[in-house]
Amino acid sequence: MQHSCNKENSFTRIPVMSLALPSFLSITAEPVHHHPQAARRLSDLAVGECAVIQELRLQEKLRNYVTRFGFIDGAVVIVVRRVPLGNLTVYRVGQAEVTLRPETANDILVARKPR
Amino acid sequence: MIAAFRECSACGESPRSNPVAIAQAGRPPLRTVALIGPPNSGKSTLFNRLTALRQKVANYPGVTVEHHTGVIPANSGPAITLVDLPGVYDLTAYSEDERVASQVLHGEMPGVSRPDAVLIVVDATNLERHLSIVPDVLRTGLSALLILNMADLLEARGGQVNLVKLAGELGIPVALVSGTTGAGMDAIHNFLHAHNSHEGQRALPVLQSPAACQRWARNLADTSDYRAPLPALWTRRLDAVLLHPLWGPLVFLLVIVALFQVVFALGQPLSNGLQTVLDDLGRALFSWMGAGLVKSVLFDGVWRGFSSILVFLPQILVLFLFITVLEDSGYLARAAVMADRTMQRVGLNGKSFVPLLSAYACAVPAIMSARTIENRRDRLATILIAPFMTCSARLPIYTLVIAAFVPERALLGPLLGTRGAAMLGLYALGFLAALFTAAILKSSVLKSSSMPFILELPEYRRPTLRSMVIRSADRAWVFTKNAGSVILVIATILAILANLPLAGGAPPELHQSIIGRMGHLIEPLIQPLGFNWRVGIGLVTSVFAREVIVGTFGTLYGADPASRDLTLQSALHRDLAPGGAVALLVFFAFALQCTSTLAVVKRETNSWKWPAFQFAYMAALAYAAAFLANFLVSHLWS
Repeated sequence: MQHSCNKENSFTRIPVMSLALPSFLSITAEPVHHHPQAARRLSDLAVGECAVIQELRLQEKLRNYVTRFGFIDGAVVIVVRRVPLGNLTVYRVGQAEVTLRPETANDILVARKPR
Repeated sequence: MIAAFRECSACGESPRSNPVAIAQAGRPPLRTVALIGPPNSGKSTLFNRLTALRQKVANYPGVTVEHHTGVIPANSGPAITLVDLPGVYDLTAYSEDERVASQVLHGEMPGVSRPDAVLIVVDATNLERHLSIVPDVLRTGLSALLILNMADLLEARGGQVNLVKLAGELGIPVALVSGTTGAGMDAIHNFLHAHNSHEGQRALPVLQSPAACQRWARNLADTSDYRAPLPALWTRRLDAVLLHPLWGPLVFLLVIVALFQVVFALGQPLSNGLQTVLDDLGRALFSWMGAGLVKSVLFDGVWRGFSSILVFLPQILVLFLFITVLEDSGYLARAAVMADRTMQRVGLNGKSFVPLLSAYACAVPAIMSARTIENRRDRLATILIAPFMTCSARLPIYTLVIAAFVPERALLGPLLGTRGAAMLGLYALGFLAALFTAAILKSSVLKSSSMPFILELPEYRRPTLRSMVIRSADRAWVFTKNAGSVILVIATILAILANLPLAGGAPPELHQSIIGRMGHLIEPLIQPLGFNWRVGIGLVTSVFAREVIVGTFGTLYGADPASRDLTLQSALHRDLAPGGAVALLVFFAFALQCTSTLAVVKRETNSWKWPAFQFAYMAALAYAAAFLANFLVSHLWS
């Protein structure tokens, strides 16, 4: 299965997601060799943005834990919304919607193409 | 979809594993089958559908993980025992749950026989991620059926999968099933009763890391022509409201208010009604007995003690129905993520919110519901702070003391009076004590390596009546069994102590009984709190259940000629200084006078260490706070 931001675009008939989604080229599920300047923290993305995971800067045990929720190299992540009353953010990764605290999202590096 | 499922059952009957041939070859029928799957795969719904009410709950020996077994009846041959394993993503043994699941499947769990086969349940709408559990399970060598659950959602949202290809890749039969609607269940029964061998099972690659496992699962999904379903539109639409910056918190507040309303406006009258019924029934049952020691012990002690717990059952049932609806609908996960910030401040996370919410009704089911917290230390901290939340057993004494000492005046017009404010203050006091204790525990003995808080938001679903009834009944039964057995023992002991020593062949006056003497004995200890010996007796009798103190006061003031003709409120008002009254409220807000809670904490933590610590800590806190309250109030008053 091809995992790409373009494909995810077709899901965005919902008002929240129709806010400025950048159009990306198709990126496969293979690990992406990133350009250093393109790497950003997952926590820096705005709601509606979409990116590809490049690296999990976590200790092995934590990385394995995060991996179970679908956060692996090459996976496409969309920022769905911020949770009210706190600092959690809902991300769509694969078929699931998962919340992360900013300190966890900080350690996940993603690649995002400039608009 | 149905056509696809038929194709699949055809593959199960392929020549390399012909079930009929094997059965005729004398292969023994299945007796024990395990059910395994990741969290949120709909495993419990499936378990409930397969076993209905033929379930048993116990703990695995030596660990706190629950052991759910159920029986699947068979038309012919022996019934099959289905073992529901904890929800796990793989068998890497990071958590206690995974260790238990792995041990059971390998036949290494003492007292649990190795299953003959295993049912692997995964969410068909999230196949790429959930398939990663399969290699670990197949490596145990057990014959297996892979169940793709939630077939109805997969179909409704335009997803699909080629079951024949998937079964071919894995070498095990695959069934597409909906635990909610019951579609495709035949395939499971076929597997169970016309059992295949696992000769066709493929050797799967040994995958070193979870990431490699995820990639393998994704490739397998691709090979099986898996088309992921579209995201759930309704879930997105509901979340746009329920997690909206303004509406989200408002609905959250409404849900909590509704929970209180349900417990008090619906559960309380039911409890009161049950109380009347049980009292009348008790009187009728024991009417033939003459007054004396035996009747006092059996009726006043055992029957009253047991019914004092039983009357909470309606409230607990109603509460569990409400929480089951919240949980099964998917809302609870949203509430938990909104509560995360508050919980984070004291070192916990959103998952602790649910038990604390239920503890407003009763700490016993709340402590049981802390099982959903994976981190052992977080779970322990939640169990230890839950009894601080104002449970319904505190209401009788709160109501009595407030009515006796707080004059009713309007504070916010008709909305809030002084008495209501006092009650709210006590609720706040309990909540703050819980947070304070959590902060202390989580920064010292229960400090944990910070596993990130990650919560998957499940899709919203309509809760099924079936699952609501089964789960509430299950919880109610566990509550009655646990609390009831302890209460029976302690009520009997207390009733005997209250009726000894015999004075001239008749039970003594309460203050001369062993319990009464204990009240006198502890009087010097409780005098600094503004309590007299009557309160002392109340504290002794209420050690096993808070609400008992009101009944004890009734007996004591009723027996005293000086206060016989007064209402309980006026008698208490005359007997106790304001400082003592406030101290009494504060004492009850903090102290752990509940043997049912102690029993369930012992059961959940598998040791007496934690309930003992909890009891001592809460008693010390209650004593110190009551002392301070009495000191402050008596000095302010004079």
